[in-house]
Amino acid sequence: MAAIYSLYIINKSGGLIFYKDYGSAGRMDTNDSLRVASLWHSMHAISQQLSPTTGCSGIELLEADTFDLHCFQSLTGTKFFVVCEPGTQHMESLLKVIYELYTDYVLKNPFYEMEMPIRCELFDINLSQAVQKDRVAMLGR
Amino acid sequence: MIGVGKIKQYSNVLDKPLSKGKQEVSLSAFAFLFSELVQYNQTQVDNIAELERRLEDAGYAVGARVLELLCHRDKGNRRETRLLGILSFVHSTVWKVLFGKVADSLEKGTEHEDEYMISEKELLVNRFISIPKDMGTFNCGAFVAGIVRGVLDSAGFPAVVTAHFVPVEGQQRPRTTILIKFAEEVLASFSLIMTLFL
Amino acid sequence: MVPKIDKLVNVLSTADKDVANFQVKLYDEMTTIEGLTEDGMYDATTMMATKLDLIREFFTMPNHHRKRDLIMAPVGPRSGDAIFANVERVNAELFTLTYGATVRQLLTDLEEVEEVNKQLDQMGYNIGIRLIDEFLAKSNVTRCVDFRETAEVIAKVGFKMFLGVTATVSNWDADGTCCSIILEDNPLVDFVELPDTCRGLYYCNILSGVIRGALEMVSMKTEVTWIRDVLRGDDAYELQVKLLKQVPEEYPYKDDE
Repeated sequence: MAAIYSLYIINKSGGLIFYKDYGSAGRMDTNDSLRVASLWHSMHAISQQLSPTTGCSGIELLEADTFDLHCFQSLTGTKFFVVCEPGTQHMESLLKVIYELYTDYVLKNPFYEMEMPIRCELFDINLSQAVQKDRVAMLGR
Repeated sequence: MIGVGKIKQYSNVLDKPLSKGKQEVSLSAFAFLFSELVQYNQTQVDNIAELERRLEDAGYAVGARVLELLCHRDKGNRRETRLLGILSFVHSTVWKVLFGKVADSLEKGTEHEDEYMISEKELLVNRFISIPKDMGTFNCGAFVAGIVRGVLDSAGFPAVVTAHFVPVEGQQRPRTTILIKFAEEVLASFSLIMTLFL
Repeated sequence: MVPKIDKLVNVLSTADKDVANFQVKLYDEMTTIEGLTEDGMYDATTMMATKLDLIREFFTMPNHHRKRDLIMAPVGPRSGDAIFANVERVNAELFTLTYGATVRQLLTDLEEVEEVNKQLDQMGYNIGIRLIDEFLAKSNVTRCVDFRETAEVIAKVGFKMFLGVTATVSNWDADGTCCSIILEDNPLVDFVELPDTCRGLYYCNILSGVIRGALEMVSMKTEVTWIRDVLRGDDAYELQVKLLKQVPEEYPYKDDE
């Protein structure tokens, strides 16, 4: 079973509001994760502009030698992306589930301030359940 | 008191087919409204105790109306007059109407004669809420405590009602206990009745 | 809870002996999950049949989690009815009375009816900028081609999936930037009568704020006003939604930044 390395959520202005590291491969310190987030935010935007297709919504999948990066951007501009082992399946469905968890446990939490870093215990709990490998496999049936 | 949100007369309620209590909205709609109610109240207070009190007040208004509504609809306008009767009415009837299920448990306090506890593994209002660390033991269940107080008070059983997180062994999340402490006069009249009966 | 645990014990004790039997039990449990298709049940059962820890968790998991984990997000937009049928719902009275308590609190805090109207609109806006994401996530709606489509989607999908009521769109102006959304049913106002002291109150003003906030998050600046209000003696609830400005979807970096 392929592994997920890390998960990022960036707000519409490019600020990293959530970062989670899974396992040892590709572990990064805070500075690096912030760098990846802002780099991805810009690259994503540039790709939108460069794309020959009109109405392109940006890069959805970046395949590298050592990792894949899957990205989902909501119409409201929040980006969710996972970095995972090359060839990991069902990441689009996982990102969709994470988006729904975000609407439940972040946006319905009165103590969460919009656009700010996410510190919600229930989001963490539900997220770790969703990321469990078997669950991901189920989603991709 | 300003009369917004007041319940219409019995005949009017019956006139409206919607008010059989079967209509539903999405849990999300309620969750967003409740979240905003909490956020608004946060802007009106300086400390957590005040926030708790204000949420309780909001709940009280709901509780008082729920009692009216249920008495009209389900009990032919007859009100519960016994202490245990009203407690079980809250734990089962009120809970079922408002939260879609009977509360997990209703217990008598072991240390104090005048205390009762209604517990719920996961209070509906807390479903999506994570309390920040700096807010300590604050529980948005204060709103539900207010509902309970509203029902009890309007039924003639004044009480102090509070909401508390209680850790449960083997569970990641604590449950919420609504602690009901009846006013002295309630217990006095209750024990008087008991004496008469025994 | 008890019967489920019984089942679980059964399942675990027969696990090694008979995988097929096992699947039948799982399948039975699956059939209780609203909205899961036949194929979905079959696949999930096969998938879980040999994974004990997953099954253990499945049997103790609340139903709404099962739904979330087992039902694949459908492709393409969904109807308001379909969404409403599949989301978790609560008694409208809890919602109505909580809203009533909110309005009451504002009247006590702010005293002036005009201020209450403003605050309700602001609270609606705050809700709207959060609620839009749930709307998008659950409805699979993609970017609307024009404002006409947007208004239809709000009325047919938005009102239905959150409040369980349908609304209609009418009174379009010539250039398609202003219309009315008319509510046939309004769960906010059950049991409500406005007393004389609250004459100027727009009791449902939160709704206009929600629409304004939600649309702003998808780059549409709008102005939303009440045209008709049953609580004020009219025969329907009518909201006018006027598109002021469509902020282009361009990337927000300007040359001078």
